[in-house]
Amino acid sequence: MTHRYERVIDVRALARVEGEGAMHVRVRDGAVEDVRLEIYEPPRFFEAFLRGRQHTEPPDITARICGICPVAYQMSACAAIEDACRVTVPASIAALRRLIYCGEWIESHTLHIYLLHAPDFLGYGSALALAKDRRDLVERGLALKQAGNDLIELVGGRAIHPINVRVGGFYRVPAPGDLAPLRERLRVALDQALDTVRWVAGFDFPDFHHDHEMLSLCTPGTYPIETGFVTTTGGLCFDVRQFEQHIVEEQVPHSTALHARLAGRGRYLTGPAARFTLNQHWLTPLAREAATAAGLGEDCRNPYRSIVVRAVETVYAVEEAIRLIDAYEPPPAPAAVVPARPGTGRGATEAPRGTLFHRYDLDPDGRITAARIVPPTSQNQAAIEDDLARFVAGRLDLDNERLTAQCEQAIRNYDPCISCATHFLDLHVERA
Amino acid sequence: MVARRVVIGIGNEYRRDDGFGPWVVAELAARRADDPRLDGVDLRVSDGEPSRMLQAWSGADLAVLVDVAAGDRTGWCEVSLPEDAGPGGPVASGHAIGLGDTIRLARVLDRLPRRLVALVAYGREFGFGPGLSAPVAATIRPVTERICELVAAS
Repeated sequence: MTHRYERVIDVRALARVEGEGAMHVRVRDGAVEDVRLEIYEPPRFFEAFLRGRQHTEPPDITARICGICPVAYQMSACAAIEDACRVTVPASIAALRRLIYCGEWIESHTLHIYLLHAPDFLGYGSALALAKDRRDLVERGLALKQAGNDLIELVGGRAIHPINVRVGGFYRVPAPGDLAPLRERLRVALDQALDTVRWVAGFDFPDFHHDHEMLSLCTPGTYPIETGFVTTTGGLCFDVRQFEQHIVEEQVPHSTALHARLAGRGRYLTGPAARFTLNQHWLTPLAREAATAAGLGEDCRNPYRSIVVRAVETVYAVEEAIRLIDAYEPPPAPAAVVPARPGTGRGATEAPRGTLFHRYDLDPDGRITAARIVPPTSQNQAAIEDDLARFVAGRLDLDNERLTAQCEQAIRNYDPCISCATHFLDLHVERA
Repeated sequence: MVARRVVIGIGNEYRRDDGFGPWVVAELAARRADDPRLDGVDLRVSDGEPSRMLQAWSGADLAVLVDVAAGDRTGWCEVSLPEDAGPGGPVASGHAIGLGDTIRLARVLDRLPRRLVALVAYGREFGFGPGLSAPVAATIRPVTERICELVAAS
């Protein structure tokens, strides 16, 4: 008689990820049979209640999707609406948008590095436990994050859900003198960011690699943040307006977030590692030097090293913010005029967690008749599940408690924002 | 030397009773011109994000937190912190590091104000939109008066 052994691991609520999700793993006869990343946070219907709103409203409404990356939602919304209305904003407004986006990269990456991810590598259950032993480290993280918060607050009116962003630009723009104190604060933050790279580079990274196609915006001449062509490591390169021709979303039974796939190609990964792999040559010399010293090569296919990439991108964002402040000249007007017109507009920007796509259909009065939002986490779900299946397969000797803890760490590599993706973590492992 | 006093209204004014903290701060701001007890008091609104809360109250002699709790009771209560920071638990996400976790982190980092007081109303309606439920709106005046007493005594 053959004895069948089934093992089930259930993580019913993933810790230190943004939002509510679970993971279910079924192991049968010593082999991983099924891995499901289950997003059970209720759908929030943002796309539905954008319908009927005026074309000027998405930046304020979609900012509410996420408390960590509201600027990303505002910037992708503005880009899509302006595309629909055939308006291109002046370079000075585009530069100010990039500046506020740098603030979001700094605060979001630092939050994830210090409060959510680093404790995993150091054997702590939380940032609080880390702070009890290494107060200096957590203080450094909070100070660096604060620099990002301050930048968002100065340009955006407040640090969370900024209120100064509008279609076409801003309601008011800062005077050059307003930015001077922040520039001095960012000089200090640059040292803190470089120290962060050196710190995380010393972590012990498991030997684990993936072969996913990776996707990011690419902007010749600069590291992508608020604009670019959609580019993949597999050789695809297309305009954001063709996003929906190449990216196919599908409903899966176990998730309230849609799964996205590259048409005819399958799973892919977006996020810091993808951005770095496709764009590292556009980093500043200091950020590239820090990346090299931290051991990052030509590409980054070990998801555990994503924390190093986030730290390098934080260095870049701080430097870029300083550059933008130094070059800042107030726009002639705070915003370009964006008259309503019928049409369809598409916009994508690089949220801290990856490419964020928006599409809006407008009627002749500028009312939104349809909206579509494709956040990074839903694009990454299939790749995360594939990685987890291989990750669990190599650790079946662990008991459920240790395997669960390691699976949670593995998921945190991707900094999933479940709240953004809901249309996601508990770990359930079934061993049979 | 004048003591540094800060009042932090925690909440979201577009989620009904969750807007209690911001409403109280707005009431204090309107009242400041006529009430000398509020001179020099730092009035802030916060979503409760930990790093911003730490920044807001670090170095303060008195920090008054104004927040709302969901429950069946009506009225409001005063809680002196940090001795009673509430039950702890694992931090679920960056979205959900609660006030208790923030206070515990502040204690470890030696960034608690000298005195921390929370005035908490009991709310029931947390749907979308502005406006407080009548029972919560009725607590604005007594909570505002208690804040004035607290800052005047410090």
